[in-house]
Amino acid sequence: MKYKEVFEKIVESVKDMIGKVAIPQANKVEEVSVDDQGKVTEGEIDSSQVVELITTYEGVMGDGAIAVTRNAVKELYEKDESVKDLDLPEEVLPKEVKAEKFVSAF
Amino acid sequence: MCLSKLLFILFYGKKFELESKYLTIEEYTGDMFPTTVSIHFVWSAILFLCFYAVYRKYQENQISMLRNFYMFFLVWSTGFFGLLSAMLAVGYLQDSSMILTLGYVIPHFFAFISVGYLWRVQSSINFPKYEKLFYAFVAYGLVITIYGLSELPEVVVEDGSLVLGPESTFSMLIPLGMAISAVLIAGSSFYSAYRTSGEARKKLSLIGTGTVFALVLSAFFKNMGYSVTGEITNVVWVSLFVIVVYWSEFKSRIIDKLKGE
Repeated sequence: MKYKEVFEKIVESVKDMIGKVAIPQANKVEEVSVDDQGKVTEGEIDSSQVVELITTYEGVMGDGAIAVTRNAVKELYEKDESVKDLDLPEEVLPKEVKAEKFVSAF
Repeated sequence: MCLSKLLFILFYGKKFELESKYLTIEEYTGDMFPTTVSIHFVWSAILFLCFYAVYRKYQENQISMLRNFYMFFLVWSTGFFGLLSAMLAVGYLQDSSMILTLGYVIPHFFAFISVGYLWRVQSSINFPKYEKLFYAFVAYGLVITIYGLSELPEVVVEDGSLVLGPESTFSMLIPLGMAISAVLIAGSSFYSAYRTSGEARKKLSLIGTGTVFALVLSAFFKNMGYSVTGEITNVVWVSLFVIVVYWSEFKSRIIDKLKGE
């Protein structure tokens, strides 16, 4: 699993929720371009871009952005458990991933 | 013979061996430094090592769950067991029943703060919205401490162990609060264990079991140093947390060697 897939999945989920306005908001992320379908066309995506995207959406949707992102990440996790290896903010991780991340430190 | 006396003989074996020619164990231990204090100093030190281990993990991986987990150990180790041992030691040496009472009441405030941090760990996993319930733990600890200071439950040292006087409301409010906390925290931990698998499940189960022993059984079995069962309960819960915190070291040095890897 790569950050790009997470980024696009979040854009897709937010777009489903608030409509096309999700795209220009995603384009506010520095050095990233997103097409009308929510696919990344330009720029490298890593953890900091995903965090910036979530922050941008939080500015529009408030706490709702966290909930939508968490669901998006959960859907990805159900398909591919390697999501847990990515460096994502704790609050958007599904319960199982958080629990594993916590105890895997020991 | 009480476990605490056995520990005492272990610590001061040589001296006891010399003097025991003239004194029986009961005569010797009757005037000794309270084992409640000695044992709680040991628990405090062990839990401080747990704090340090988790703190180091936090330096490598700065997630809030680890920060809250090391705060649980730090506050329990210093604010609860550390302060309790120190105040009881001073109370005993000064022969002051007031300091003994304060040494029993005040540290329990920190016990609830510590438990609040353990709640923060679990709530951030399963109930992020309720993480602020931490302040309810602090408030409960504060309220019962104020109540305890007004009630001043009697605490005496008898035969080297701490003994509570007549049943007090404060003494009953502690296990009540701890039991409610344990339901929430251990329940959440077991739920996480159920949702995960492999080593994660084992570690979360150990945390849940340790929580039940620490917050419910230890108080139920009177862990303040005058019950063998209570002391064994302390051994169990502290050991469970040590195993979790030092899991990778424990696994690589013991389990893997036993398996011949």
